[in-house]
Amino acid sequence: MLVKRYHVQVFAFLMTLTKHRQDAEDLTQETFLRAWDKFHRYDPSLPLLPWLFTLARRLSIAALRRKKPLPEDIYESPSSEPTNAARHLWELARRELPPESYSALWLHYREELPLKEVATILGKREGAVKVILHRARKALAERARVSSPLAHPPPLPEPQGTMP
Amino acid sequence: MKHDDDHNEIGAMLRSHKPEPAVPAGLEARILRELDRRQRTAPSRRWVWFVAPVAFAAVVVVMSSLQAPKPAEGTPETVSNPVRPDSTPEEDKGSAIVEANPLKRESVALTRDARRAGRFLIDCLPSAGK
Repeated sequence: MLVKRYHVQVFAFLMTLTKHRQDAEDLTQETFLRAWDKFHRYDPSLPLLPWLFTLARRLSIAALRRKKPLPEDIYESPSSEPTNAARHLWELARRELPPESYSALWLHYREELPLKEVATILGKREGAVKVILHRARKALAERARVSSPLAHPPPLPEPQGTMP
Repeated sequence: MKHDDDHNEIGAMLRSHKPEPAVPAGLEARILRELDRRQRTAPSRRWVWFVAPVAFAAVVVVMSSLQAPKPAEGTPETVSNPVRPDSTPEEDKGSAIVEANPLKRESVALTRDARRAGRFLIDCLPSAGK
């Protein structure tokens, strides 16, 4: 029941950290095995998904330390046109942002988790998470501006010639 | 400020469209298979926790019975013949009494001495009617 309900979300979260499908698959399996072993330590009064995310993150860190990271997977070809700006933003975030920033965005905007829970999952303070999210949004805004010239047309050139 | 508006707008845009991750086919089945395998191996470990205390208790009982104190050295190894009150010292000597218990040996010796002393005194008395 646990696996059926949450494996998609755990896999998606691990993709934000590893950016590699095979690693994310292996770590997703490992996360649920670890949850099975450590279930006696889970506090039922707290939500389950953040706990799974925390386990997943710790496993991904341990895995990254053990082996050399593989090249990132590419979901879609860069030439594919996103159908809307939001999807374009998510694509930009996945490609351009570091794993920590992307996973923070994912947890807060995709999973709708409050900042406090995002901080717990990422092992940071709430203030640090706010800063990470602010910088991530700023970076996305700048990249979106650069990558979508039609959305923000360049300023018109100054008229030449001197005024009398 | 315009930049802050962009940043808030970014958050709103991210929320407006939530991407659906492409989960590999068979991932759920793979995880369930692994969990099932682990569940099947888990009971054998639990079974050890039930057997171990019982085995330990049995070992303790066996060890304690082996270390139980042996019977005292003074207990008689053979059945002693009951000593008759009018038995003579010769009869006493003749009887094959082997007392392992030193206290018992001592009491038999004292009884023998008392009987001997009594006979002696009786013999020393002038005979009546002579």
